[in-house]
Amino acid sequence: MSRPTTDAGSTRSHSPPHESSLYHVFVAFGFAGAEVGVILGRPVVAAVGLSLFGWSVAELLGEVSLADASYAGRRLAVVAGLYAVVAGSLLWVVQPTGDTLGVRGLAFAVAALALFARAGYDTLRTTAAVVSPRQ
Amino acid sequence: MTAVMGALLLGVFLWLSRLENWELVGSGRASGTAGERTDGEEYTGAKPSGVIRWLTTVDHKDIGILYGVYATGMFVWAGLAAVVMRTELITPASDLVPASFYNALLTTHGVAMLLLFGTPILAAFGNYLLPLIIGADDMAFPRINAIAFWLLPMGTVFVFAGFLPVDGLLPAQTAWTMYPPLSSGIGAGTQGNVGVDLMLLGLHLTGLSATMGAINFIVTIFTERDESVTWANLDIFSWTMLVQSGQILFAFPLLGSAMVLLLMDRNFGTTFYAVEGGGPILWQHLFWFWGHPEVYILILPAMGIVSLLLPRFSGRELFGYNFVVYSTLAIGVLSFGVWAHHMFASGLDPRLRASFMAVTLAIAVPSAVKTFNWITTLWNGRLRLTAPMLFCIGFLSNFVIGGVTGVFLASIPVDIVLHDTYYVVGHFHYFLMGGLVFAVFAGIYYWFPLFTGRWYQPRLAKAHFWATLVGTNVTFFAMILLGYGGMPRRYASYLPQFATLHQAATLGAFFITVGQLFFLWNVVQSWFEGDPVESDDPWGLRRFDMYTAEWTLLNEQRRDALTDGGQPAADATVSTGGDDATPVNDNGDTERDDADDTRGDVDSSEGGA
Repeated sequence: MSRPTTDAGSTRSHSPPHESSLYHVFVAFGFAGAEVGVILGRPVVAAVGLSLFGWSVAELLGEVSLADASYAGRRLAVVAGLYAVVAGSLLWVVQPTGDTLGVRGLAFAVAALALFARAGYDTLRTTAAVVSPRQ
Repeated sequence: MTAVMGALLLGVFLWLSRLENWELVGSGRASGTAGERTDGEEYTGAKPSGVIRWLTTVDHKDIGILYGVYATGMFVWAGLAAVVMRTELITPASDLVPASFYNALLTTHGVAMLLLFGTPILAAFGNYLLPLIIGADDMAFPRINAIAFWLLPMGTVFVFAGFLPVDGLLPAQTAWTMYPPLSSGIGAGTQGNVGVDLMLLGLHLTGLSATMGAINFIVTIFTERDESVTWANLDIFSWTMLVQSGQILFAFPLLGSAMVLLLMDRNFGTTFYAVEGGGPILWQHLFWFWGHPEVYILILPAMGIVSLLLPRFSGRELFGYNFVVYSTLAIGVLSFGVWAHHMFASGLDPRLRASFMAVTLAIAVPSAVKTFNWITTLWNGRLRLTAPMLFCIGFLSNFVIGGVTGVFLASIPVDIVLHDTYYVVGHFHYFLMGGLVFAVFAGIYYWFPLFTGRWYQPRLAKAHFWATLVGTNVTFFAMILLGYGGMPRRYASYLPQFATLHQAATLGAFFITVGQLFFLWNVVQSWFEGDPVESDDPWGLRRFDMYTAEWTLLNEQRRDALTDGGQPAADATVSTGGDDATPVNDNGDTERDDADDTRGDVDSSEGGA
């Protein structure tokens, strides 16, 4: 049969063939929500959509072994950091010019905070597990 | 709407936060609290059942089925829109639906058929079959494959959001071409409603989906082929999928960018398509740079299906395999050099128009090469007029009419006269309905035993074919005549002298509708109650040395059924294949079908031509 591959996300990843998580569904839903919220100026929808998208992407990276699956907190923190940069650009650079795009920065900021919070929780939980491993 | 969307997404977000090990969800063992498996079971690789299976699957076959079911739903939706429009056009006056609703139907029909049916149905075939044919275990990126599919339903909700009964929300009436300044939403009489924004966002998502799928197909074909599959013996369907994916990779991101610019014009006050900025013609250039390759994105895999099937029911190898491959590549390249023939009437520089006319005429050459190759494959062949074969022949005849009418349109003086008339509508529907849809039906009937393990009903399939063939030609040839008479497209009302031809076109549309009812009934009923397929070579292909790898899946499924404790009944017999499994008579027909015409659709009486 076909030769082995090391491509991320292939059937030869650590997940069993044909069986996966629901993250790919939430990547799609999150992206759609984020797009609608940002373009149409609905910060609530945008914030939730961005959070869902960022979270799902971070988890998928771990699931397909593109990132260390043991450190969910770090992956989330990286995504949150990227959101924070975008939020900062929109809120402090664009908004003072009076452009309505700046308002969208709020959604990125909220999403970044949510992901940072979750990353912190995951990190604490991982640390606790290392300190007192279950038998 | 914000509140509903926000609540929905927040609910999902909270649910997500409670489940930490998603691998458990896929196997139906989610505890909601764990970070590890609570039952100590090992994975068996078995698929979970119910909705969870379809939500969590990354299996290329499942995703192919998802694409297929989704695309069929969109075909029904867009088809119903067409039926309402044709019914409106029975009389010259606009008396069935308001003109604005007619415009909305017109828009949704075009958008849905091209982007929500055409591209996904080909992805369905590609996902299900391509890895099997080239000997790959799965697509190269199964999760990206799944994401690409799940972007579609969300995109679809946005595209059709304007039809939802929400205050202040109206369906888009821009037609599928979305030309500014109508679509810019600035000024009186334009499409400033948020329904257009949502449609643009939805189309953006579907474009993203198509691009992700295309990357997956390309990588799969390049890196996941079995060692025995070389470029020299790669099957013709995979070749067309490869070229199509390459086209998507260049065309769809450009459409996405163009739509983002349009959204910015609408929402952020930019002037990309405003007269004082880039100008409305800029949109036409960007749109058609995607729009014309899109025609070939839809028709190339259809050609691949026909090229694959015709030899199997003609008893001959595909005539001129190399030339068919080269012409596919040529079409792939040339399709990016013809976009401005859609803009001959827009005041384009005459020197540019002439060059685009030349390239447009040139692209007819590889298309004609294919056509002659198909005809030569049929010549002196031992034809088996099964439902897939009938649809292939229907494709061929419709494709010739669509192609010939297209050559006339390539000529600048003729195009300027016929521009924006029903002639253009008839021409491209010969390609899309007469070409793409016929090839899709051929593929569905051919691989139906593989998809379902059961046979369809051949008489219903043939009734489907004849109703669709007659309906297609009555509808769209009438449109060509209407165009010659000067009937402009996109109008809900018209002058009385066009009434007879419009009524003929509507009659044809009703024929098509009846044919599709046959199809839907046949597929659904046969899927659940059809006769089981008893061989891994249901079409008797080994006799002609045309057996392809995808059919071995039937054997694997039977083995799995037996291993899982299934009863070794007649439909669970492990067949070793070959002529013993499906005896073939001297006419090249399976003898089983001579005895029972309800199986296999191999028509013995018309078989050996």
